[in-house]
Amino acid sequence: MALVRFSPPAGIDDAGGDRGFLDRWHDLVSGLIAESTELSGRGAYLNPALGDVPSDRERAITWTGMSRPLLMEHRDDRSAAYAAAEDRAVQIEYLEWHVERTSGKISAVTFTCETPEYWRLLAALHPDVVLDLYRRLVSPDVARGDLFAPDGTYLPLNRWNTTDGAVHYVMPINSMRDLLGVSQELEPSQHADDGYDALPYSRATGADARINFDLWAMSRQGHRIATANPPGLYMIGWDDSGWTTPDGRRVGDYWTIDRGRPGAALRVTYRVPDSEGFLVGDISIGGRPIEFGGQIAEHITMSAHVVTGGIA
Amino acid sequence: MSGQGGDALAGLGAVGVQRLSGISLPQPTPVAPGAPASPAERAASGLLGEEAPAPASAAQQRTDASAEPVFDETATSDIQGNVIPGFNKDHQRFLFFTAADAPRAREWLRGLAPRLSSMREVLDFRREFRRERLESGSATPTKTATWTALAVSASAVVKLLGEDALARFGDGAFRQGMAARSTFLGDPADPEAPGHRDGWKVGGSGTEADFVVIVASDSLDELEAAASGIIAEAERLAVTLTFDQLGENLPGNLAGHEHFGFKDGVSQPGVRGATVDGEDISPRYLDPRNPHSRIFGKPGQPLVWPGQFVVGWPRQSPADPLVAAEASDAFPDWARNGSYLVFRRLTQDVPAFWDFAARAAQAHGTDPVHFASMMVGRWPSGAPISRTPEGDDVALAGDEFAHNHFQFDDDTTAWMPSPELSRAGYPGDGHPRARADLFGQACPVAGHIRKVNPRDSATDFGAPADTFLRLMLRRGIPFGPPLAGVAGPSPELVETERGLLFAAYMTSIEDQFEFVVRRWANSSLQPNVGGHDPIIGQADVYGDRTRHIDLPAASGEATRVAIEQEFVTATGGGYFFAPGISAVADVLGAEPAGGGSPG
Repeated sequence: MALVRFSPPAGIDDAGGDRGFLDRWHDLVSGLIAESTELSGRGAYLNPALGDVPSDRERAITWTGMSRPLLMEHRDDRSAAYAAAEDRAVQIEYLEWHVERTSGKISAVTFTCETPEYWRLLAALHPDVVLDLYRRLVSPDVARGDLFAPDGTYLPLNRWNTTDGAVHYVMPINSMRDLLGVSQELEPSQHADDGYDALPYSRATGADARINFDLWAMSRQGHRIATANPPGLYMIGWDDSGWTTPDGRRVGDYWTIDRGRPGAALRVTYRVPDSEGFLVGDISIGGRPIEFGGQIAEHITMSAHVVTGGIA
Repeated sequence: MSGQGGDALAGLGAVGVQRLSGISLPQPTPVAPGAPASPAERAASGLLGEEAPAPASAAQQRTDASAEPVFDETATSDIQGNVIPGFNKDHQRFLFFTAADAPRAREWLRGLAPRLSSMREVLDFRREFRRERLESGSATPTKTATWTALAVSASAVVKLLGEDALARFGDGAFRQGMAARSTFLGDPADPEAPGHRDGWKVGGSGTEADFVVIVASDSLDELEAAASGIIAEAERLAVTLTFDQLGENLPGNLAGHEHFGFKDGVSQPGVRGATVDGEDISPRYLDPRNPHSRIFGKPGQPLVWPGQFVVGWPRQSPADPLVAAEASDAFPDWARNGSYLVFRRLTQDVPAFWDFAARAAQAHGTDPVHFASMMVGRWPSGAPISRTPEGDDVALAGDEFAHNHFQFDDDTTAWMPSPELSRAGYPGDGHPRARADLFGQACPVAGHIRKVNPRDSATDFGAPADTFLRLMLRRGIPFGPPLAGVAGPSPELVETERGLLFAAYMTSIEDQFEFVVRRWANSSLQPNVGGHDPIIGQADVYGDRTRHIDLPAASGEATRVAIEQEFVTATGGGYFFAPGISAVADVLGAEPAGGGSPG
């Protein structure tokens, strides 16, 4: 089996097939895996760029986009959890969003699960592409100086990726580094015979628990594990059943995949077409008006993918 | 119906399950009132055995779980007996009422309150019945009882106590009612479609009830007498019976089964805590030296903090099953000792289910019973397919200490009975063990029991500790005449409506019932990717209600089986609250001071 060359998330081609960019991306991802080997325990988590990994099957590891820590903190007051979740700094489940309002009512919500590593690299090698993407994705008003320091350094916390939009993660522990780091934490599985034995589990996020417990189980059973290619974080799906228009009808399909593809979306916008004559904030989920982006994020399923097989 | 599906259906129940017998449980040993029984204390008292556990690690030395709450006499006489431990009677009437006049409705409630059955009353009965059952192997109690439970809807709270009182219930789903949440639960949005709330027999648009009274009895005659008395008194006080549903256990070898023919209710959470007599609400049967004895009562029965089911009690921690979290404060004071009751009238299309199973089985190269069992996760007998993937095992099914002992992700290890259970005569669990089934080759990831309780697996909401937060106390019973096990049924019998009266108690409708239904059963991606719950799941993608289930082979290849028909349809329902018995008379039934609403 040939060694893996890591592709950009969802196989997206922002750099026009530039070989140099693709090589740098590959090296970056490969380096993130190699960095964390001390956490890899018995060595079941492998870098498929460096050696063959039996890949009998691919597994999608899924979790919920809305912050589980906030839902647990506000167990008895869901609205408080949604309100708190509007802060990008606590959008901790590898899904971040930006809410647009018209006269106080939500008109659109943009969701992203793109990593800062990817955008930094793209900005370093193809700044014009980054500028063009920002203008297309967020606003035609984006200026080069908004995104880049005078010396050309990309500014990930620029206004169009924070207060005025969301292009990629800004929450500090949402990143490719964190995804791959958590994935390599196989050592704790050696202390447990099964999922119950691995309790209590101290981290509150759904994503960390999900990745840890799934991979621990595979590791305990002797499987070798590697990230699927392309590596990354995705919106694998969403569920808008039971969402209703102001006159009580079932909503239409108001989701637009701006980047990525169905089952592996990187950037999604939820906006009602003008022809419908109402806004996102006029939609009800289970009879309750949408007042916060987190209400939508709660119905988005996130995923990361691994390949597994063989015996370590 | 005809063909292989019909043959499989007609053959169900032909072989009875031989239940365990010859086991003589001792009476519980009393402990000092108010003294929580730690595992060591229980062991020393003989409840769990003579040998005190020998903690092997710091984790095992934690004693948080030993601080389980004590249900004193006040609590056990206040909590309704259908919440804990559950009526579980063969004959039950679900009576739905609407009140026209609040003062007269209050009078009715004051009269009804003394008839409501308490936790204490039902616990006393259950203790004796359990001893009889394990001794004789018979599922029929020698004594009989007739019990009554009450729950009120949001509309009743408003009528009796006012809007402000309803606002103090933090669960928005309760305040809204099931009809308003129907499409969120996956029911059809098209008013013409079967299952739409407009067509419900109770609880739909314009047919929502104020009260549900559940009368349960071992005797049909006693049931009828008790129900008639309650109805007559209600009518006298302008509390109108709007719907009346009889539920009955299936007969003969299919007792305890639902209408598709599968043993139901095998897996229930255990409730942590003990009575002042030292009796565990959920007895502990694992050897205390086994770390799993701290989180399971019977093997496979997770121990859950009571606040998940009863208001005002410590509830489950999202991270650690051994540590209690504070009780919910999302209730008015008078709601203490109460519990939400979710009722759902689910009509089952038994011929369609078995026709599908037969067609799919043929395409998959197996037989209809095996395919249907993969959809459920258990064989018709109740034996878990995880422990016996190749065929049903009635000996396993009849061993109530073994038939729920299995995990999904890892090999399930052997368990040692507590010394007490061994002394009582339990020979040990020698049945085949469940093997690691991470990818769902034995029990498909979307199999019903795996969907609604993923056990040791992680879920889209985190570690297995989170799953404890989702469990409910299920109190359902079938309705309608059985078709399973009937050879050559008449067309009239085939056409007769049948199904399940789903009833479950919990303290958060949104985080328990709705979470499990919407996020897991209705999703092909959650809690694990692999398809929809083929039994109760509902998909609705802009009107496309097709579901699917993935069946992986050992090679890693998965076959996706489309399910274009639904076998279970909602035909009624409601969100209710079952108050503590004292609150029925003293709060809901109380005349408001000064003639106004007590708020």
